[in-house]
Amino acid sequence: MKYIIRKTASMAVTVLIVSFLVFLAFSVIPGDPAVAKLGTSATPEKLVKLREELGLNRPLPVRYFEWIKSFLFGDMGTSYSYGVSVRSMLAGKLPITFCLTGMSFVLIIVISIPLGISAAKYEDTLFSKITDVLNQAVMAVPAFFTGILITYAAGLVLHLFTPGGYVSYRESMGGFLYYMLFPALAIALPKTAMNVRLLKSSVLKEAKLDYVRTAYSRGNSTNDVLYKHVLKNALIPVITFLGMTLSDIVAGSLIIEQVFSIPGIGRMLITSIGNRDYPVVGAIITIVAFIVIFINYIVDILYQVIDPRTRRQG
Amino acid sequence: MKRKRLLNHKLIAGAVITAFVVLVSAAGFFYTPYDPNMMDAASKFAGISLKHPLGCDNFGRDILSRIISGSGTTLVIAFCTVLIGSVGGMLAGAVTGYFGGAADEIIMRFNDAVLAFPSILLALVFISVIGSGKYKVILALGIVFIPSFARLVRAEFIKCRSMDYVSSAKLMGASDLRIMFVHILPNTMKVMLSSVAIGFNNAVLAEAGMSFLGIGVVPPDSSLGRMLSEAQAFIFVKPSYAIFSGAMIVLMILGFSMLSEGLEAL
Amino acid sequence: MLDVTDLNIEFHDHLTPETVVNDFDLHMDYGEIVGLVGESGSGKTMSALAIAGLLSRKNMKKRGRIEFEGTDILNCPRNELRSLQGKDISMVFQEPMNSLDPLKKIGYQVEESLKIHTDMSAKNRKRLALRALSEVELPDPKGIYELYPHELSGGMRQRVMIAAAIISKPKLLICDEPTTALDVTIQAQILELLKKINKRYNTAILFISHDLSLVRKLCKRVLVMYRGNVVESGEAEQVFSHPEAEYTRLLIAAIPKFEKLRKD
Repeated sequence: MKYIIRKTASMAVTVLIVSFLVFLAFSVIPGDPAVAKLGTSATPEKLVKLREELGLNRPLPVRYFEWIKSFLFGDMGTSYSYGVSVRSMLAGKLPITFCLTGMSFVLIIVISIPLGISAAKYEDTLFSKITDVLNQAVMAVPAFFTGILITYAAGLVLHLFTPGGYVSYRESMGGFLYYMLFPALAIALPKTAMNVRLLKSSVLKEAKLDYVRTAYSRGNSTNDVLYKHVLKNALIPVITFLGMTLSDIVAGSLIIEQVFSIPGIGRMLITSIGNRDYPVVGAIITIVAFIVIFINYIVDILYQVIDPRTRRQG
Repeated sequence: MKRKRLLNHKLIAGAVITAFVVLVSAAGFFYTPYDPNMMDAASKFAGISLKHPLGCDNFGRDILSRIISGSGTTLVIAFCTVLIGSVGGMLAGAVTGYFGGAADEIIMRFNDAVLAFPSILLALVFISVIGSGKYKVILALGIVFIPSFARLVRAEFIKCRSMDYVSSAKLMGASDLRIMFVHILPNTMKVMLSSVAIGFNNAVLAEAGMSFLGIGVVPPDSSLGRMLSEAQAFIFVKPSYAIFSGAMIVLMILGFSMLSEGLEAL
Repeated sequence: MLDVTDLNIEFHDHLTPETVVNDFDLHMDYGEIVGLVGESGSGKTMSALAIAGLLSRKNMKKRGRIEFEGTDILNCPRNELRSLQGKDISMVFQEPMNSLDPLKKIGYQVEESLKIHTDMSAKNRKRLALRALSEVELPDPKGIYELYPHELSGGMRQRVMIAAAIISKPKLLICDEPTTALDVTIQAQILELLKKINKRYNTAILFISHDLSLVRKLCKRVLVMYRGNVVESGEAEQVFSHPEAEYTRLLIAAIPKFEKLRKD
């Protein structure tokens, strides 16, 4: 409990630091929003007036707290390019990106954990050697190239889906999920390969430890030793990896959206960077940053649940 | 007891692939079969032939020449990025690790927060503030890579600063700077070596990703990522363009990652 | 009860095979305590693991016979071997720090062999586990039952290991250097505990150690191993006072003086 409180506090500090940096990056460094709004030909009097209206003449910390306060209450500012609230722009897009991230995370777990366990269990067999080679190869293919290969193979050769034919979830939930399966797979494949490899080596490392011999000496079968003792221990590094992966696939989905023409926040981010639409860019980066911080927090808490050794070092 | 082999098959395979990639791209600075940016309407989407071994793209540009020169751009960016990252990281890690104290505490806290984020996301933040282009990509990625190197060097310095040879050097009156850079730094080289290799791996990946998104290098520069995104547009008519430029990225990543694993196993 | 004849173990993980145990013979009766002495690498642990059926089947060639109550341990099917392990043959290992699963509660690990070999109810298992924990003289068995290994000291963990090993009242308890990682006072306590267990349940104990003085305190009979061969065997007092093999003499000479003074 003490641990959770401490972790929560440290998460809050990280949120403050990161959001301050984002605030600096997008609200201060890019230049004067008043100039951006009125154009360079605006008269100085007009600029001063607008700055006052926008609250730009107040000290930096005050502006930061105003910004973070309204951000947390859902007011993320107004887009320079479209003049509408950033919130309304993001509203329909966040679920799409979340769905993509979630699907690929599920795919990673569902594929890699059984495969990693079997690769360790049947070590020194042809199966294990083939997985080794496949892992090394698949790991080296970046997600966006995997995406292109999937588009080509599954879309153009096998006709399993229509490349670029994104189906909105408002139209058809089934069609939407089916279409998302392919980009999710593209994100998941390299990470799956890495996780299979990690899990395999982790299981093999644990299997050499003394407690495994103890378990055998009590009459456990190989499967019992594996599933009742080794696996839980072997999953500890895997959890760390999956936590890192989850924040990686949030970033990865931003790229993959481009490959599969999915109208999520990734495409909006890229367009906004091109348009120098700082309120939008800042809001997306902040949201993604908060998600990453939150994932790390959850991983830390999960650790506590699984590994009793970390529990009492309060 | 099994003796550790001086060379392992990963190291050899990684070195061979990396050498191939580097040689091809280096040669590209002096010679490419065609000017990579030369357009030729007559050979638009030309197939594989003796004249154009990998065919031509939508502007009739020779794909082989473009891939060779694109690899060069990608590698140069990766090299500069790793240079900035490792030198910057080395300095930061050396100073914080050697002296410790409150500054170290603050910098490392900051470091850990930064490291929790995917590097491409941080690079995106930089790019969106400073704009895109070859040099800006190098700057953004280089800065983003500093923390991971800094953490590594710092850990080595903390390990070394209490060792006997450091105390004896101190007794002999060596200055802090001399101890840091003459005595301790060479000892960090082994860990640095494999992380530099993995740094190249990450740099290639990040540059390709950014250029793919169209926020990396800008024309007339062309990198593998940029070509991949161009190629994606006409994958219907000319899949080989995407496949070959992607394959080159895969080859680079494979080479650097195997090299890194091989070095680590030494 | 236990008959080992002509046991040979060879490693095959290098280019040239390496013999680690050569023509090992051992007979043990119910309730007997036998010591197995030798320096590290002498093959004593390998022999013990073979008897407990814990040698892996890869990279290794085993010849000879290990017969436990009529079961051929080297060649019987795995499930037959498993039905003995933890029930009739139990083992306590050298490293109490690493021999327990770090993620499982002490209670689970103590009663694990009951779970495997009997269909006892959870309540009964817990009752027996608590009794085993108090039998190895651990304070507050109920509290310890709920703890994790890292929360106990080395000596306490070794007691937990012994409790887990004796819970199903085995006929043979193999102790591989059970006290080496512990300090001297705890060593003596563990020896006393083993003696008590031997008396109470008539459990035969194969006690493996590099420390001849410990073996002398505990065992009636002793075997001395050197480089895979048994160089001397017989009554402990006999071996100790009139060693025949040169190596045994060296071992005895290696015991610190005050130990010998105290004994004589």
